[in-house]
Amino acid sequence: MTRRPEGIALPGLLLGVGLGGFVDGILLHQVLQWHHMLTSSATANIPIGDYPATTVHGLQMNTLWDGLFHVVTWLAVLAGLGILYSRVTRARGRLWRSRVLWGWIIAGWGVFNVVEGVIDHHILGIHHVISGEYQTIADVAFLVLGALLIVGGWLLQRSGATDAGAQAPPVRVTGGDAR
Amino acid sequence: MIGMAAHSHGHGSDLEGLPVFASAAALAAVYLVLAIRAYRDPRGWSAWRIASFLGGIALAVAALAPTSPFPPDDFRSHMLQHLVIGMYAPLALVMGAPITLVLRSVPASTGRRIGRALHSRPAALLSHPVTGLVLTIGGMAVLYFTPLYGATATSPLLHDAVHLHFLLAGYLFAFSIAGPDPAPHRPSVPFRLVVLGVAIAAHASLAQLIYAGALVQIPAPPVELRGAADLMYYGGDIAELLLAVGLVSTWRPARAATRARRSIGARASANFPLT
Repeated sequence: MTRRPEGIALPGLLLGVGLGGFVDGILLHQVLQWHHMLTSSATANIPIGDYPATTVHGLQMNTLWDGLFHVVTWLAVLAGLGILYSRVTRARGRLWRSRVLWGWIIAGWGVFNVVEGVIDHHILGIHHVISGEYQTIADVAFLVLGALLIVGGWLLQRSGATDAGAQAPPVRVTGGDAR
Repeated sequence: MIGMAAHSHGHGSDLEGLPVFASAAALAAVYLVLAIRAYRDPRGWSAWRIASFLGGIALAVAALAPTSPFPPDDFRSHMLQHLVIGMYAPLALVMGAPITLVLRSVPASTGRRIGRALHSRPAALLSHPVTGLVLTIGGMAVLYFTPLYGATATSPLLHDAVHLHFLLAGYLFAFSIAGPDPAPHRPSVPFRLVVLGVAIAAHASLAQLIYAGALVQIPAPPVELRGAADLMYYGGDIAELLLAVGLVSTWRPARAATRARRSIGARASANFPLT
């Protein structure tokens, strides 16, 4: 079984996108209650109507969209696990200690932040990380965190791939791929 | 807050009192004795499994004791109980691998009998993920969409029966999806991932219906319904993520190979128990 490190890039990224969605969904939506999907819909850049979380109808719409967000998050996690399972057929126990996989997962979390931030916060403007005075700073900080996660995750997976021989047997580098 | 809630616990406190806690303690003691023996054995026994099983019992006991931050008859208290008894405690118990521990501890003849039972048709049906799915989600649908939930408020026996159903159904589901214990008929990982996905979608949809107060027959004010639905939605997510972690922790190919050998051996002559 020889598989190039890129073999687990896709499932790793998918897992990271999904888990990043959970951090956003559970921590920001629920525990801290900073925002829901459509909490800034009145000031959004697209005409979708106003759905404040303080009215029953607004809350219903926010709940519906939080639900759709939830479906996408779970699909990313389950698809990531499925692809990972089909691609890595040996030394699966050690796989979870591989820096390559965790690097890609962290990078996937960063991808989630950047894509979600750019589309929902900046282009559509349907919600912001925090609504109000510090809205722009918070949205930019969310993007910066995403970029840092992508860079950090990419460096981590590369360091794992470099000493793959000793560190990550499940993703042994094939000849010619040496960096 | 928790101290204030430590007065008489709504209904069912008599039945859920001493006998339940005593049997939980007995179960923990038996597991601990067998586990310490297996731990000293050359093959060893994982300390994580011991911690997981004892943690599962502690969780179930804590959920039955009046530890909720909400008033005892608040629907949110019940939801918290259901979450812990039906999702967190069963997963922790399953990850303790109690059947493997029993097989290690009993004589070979008894082990063979247990092995045959695990290979039997009823065991195959019970340990199938779809069975667990129907029992957990179906049980919740019956509880919340019919007058059953209202009836549990007045009948302690019914209330206890619902808790027992949640615990057993949750155990079967976690066992079929992620169990480290032998289940000769357990389907492939992709199949189990799909069943897990269906369970997650159904669980979240039920939570949304409770949040909206639609279709459900729960005699509780909207603020309690919404609070309980939030607990179910996000608390369920974390439990389901843990279940997925449990699933990947049993991916090891060595285990799959051993299992294949065991089931071939058992089918051929049933002379090699599932030790």
